[in-house]
Amino acid sequence: MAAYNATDVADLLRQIGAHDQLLAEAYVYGTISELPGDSRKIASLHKSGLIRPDDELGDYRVTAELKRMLNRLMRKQSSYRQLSDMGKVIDTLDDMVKDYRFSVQNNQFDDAEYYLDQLDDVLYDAKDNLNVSLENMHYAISSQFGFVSTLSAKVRENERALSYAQKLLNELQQIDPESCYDWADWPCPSDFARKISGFVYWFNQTLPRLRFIIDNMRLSLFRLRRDEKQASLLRNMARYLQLHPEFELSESLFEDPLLPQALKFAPAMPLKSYIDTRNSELEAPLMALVQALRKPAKVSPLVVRENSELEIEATAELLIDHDFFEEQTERLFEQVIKHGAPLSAIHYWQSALKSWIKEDQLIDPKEWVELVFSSYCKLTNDQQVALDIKPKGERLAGTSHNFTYCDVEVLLR
Amino acid sequence: MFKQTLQKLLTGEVICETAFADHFAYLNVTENRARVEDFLSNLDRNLTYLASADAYYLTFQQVEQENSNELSQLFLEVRSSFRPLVEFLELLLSATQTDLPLRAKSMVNINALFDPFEHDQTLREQLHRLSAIKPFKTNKLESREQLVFIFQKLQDMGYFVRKNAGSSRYYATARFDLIYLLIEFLNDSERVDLPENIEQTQEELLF
Repeated sequence: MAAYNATDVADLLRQIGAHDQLLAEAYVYGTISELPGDSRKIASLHKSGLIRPDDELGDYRVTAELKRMLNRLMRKQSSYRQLSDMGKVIDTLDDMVKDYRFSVQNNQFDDAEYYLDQLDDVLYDAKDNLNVSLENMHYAISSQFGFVSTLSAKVRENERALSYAQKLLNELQQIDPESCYDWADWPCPSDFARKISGFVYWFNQTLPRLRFIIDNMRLSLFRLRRDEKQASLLRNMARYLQLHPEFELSESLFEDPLLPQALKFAPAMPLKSYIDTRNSELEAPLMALVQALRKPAKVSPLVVRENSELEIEATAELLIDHDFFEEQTERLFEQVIKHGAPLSAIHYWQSALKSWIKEDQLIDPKEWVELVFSSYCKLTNDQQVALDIKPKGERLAGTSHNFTYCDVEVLLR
Repeated sequence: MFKQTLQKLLTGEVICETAFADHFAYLNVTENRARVEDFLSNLDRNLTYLASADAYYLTFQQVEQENSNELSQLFLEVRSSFRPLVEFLELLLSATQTDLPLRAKSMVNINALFDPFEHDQTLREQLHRLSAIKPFKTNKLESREQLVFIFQKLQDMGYFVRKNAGSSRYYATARFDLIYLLIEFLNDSERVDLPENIEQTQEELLF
């Protein structure tokens, strides 16, 4: 670690922090494109080894190192299949232990510290790699390989994970705790002894955990394969039913000698019970039940109605009021229609006056003329279209249709 | 619990963890199970445990004159619901695109199904066809309403349970596993000649 300056590391981390969005996009979407204003930013990230150019000009990807780190931190599933060769790790450790022992025994404390540091790193790496793999495998099983969606992909992933876990188990079995303890079988510093015993302790914990994971993986694989088989059977059955609309299950399927026991469904048994009315013990609860079930007699509430008296009067006869002169105006209109010639109200008054006197009826000519006019106004629209009325007189000065009149003439239009 | 469990079993219920958790827990105790089995032997019935679905239900011991009428009635019901149920399960496979067959303890969120059916004409047509046959027959025209109706019907038939009435999450019971069992039997005993693979279907569709 001494090879690096803490400031350099801080610089690099600061750079990652400053371009968090850009790097996150490159990691999540695979590539980022260089925008006109970004060239300096991109160049500095490239220089720091955080991104690398893609095959496509102007596109960049995150470097394998950064991606690996992010994968690991984000628990990306693809990372769990990194096999650490335990044989090699043990060999390296063996060498380091020898070097360390030699340095300590010869009082070369600086070298001893270096070897102890190296030993710690190797041990930590080996443990960490395996722990991450185990955690990810555990997560993969508990999420039912949720990172792939189709069943066949899940089966493939499960198969691979299982074979990987088995290889991992083989690797782990290369570690012999006894020979590890031998590393510390000399008057060694307690720091060193602690590291070695910690490693052995971890190993003893991990082995059963891995076996448990392998068992679960086998079970999960069995279930996935069964699901796959059932899905395929179901699809085939549905397709068969589509192709054979006439297909029906046999009516006597239950008599089939090959029918497995699991399909011999028993018919439902209608369950009813009757009460032994002679049993006096049941009397009290039975009565309570009957009372509870008895329909309450419906008492419809009395509706208080409002009442008032109705007065009945004798039917009044409707008297039709005849007006003699109104009838006469009708006669006038009748005459006009009969003869088709215009007829003046005054002329009619003069000719009819004698007969009116005989009947004891009298009307002033002015009133008569007004009556004729008002009768004309009372005619229906159709009648007014047939008949016309023309006042005889002078037009009032300054108006268009106002007249002072002394007579009206009724004529056909 | 002995009495309640027997009542459920005798009335034809399939006891699994989803549908009747308490009864299921009761039957999981060896002594309780032995007691139930002992009682049932008097009624010519077996308590059957289906390991693949983790479920208990009753099966008959043998066909006799006494039970043949009831059995033929029951198997007529099985026969009439077989086709619509297979079509429903296959439709669900296509709609969810996960290839995971619906089985005991599976959960379906009906809200998540509305979208695929609204956007896929083929799925809609299949659903419409399914809505025209018993027991899913309905006059409803909207795919959403048809789905709700079918799920409700399946809940009434004991294939689904919901934790509460308004929930959109339907939990499958072991009854679905019995359909797979029946298909397996038809396939293994060569009662039907099932097509070998799906690729064949695609080729046929092309022509």
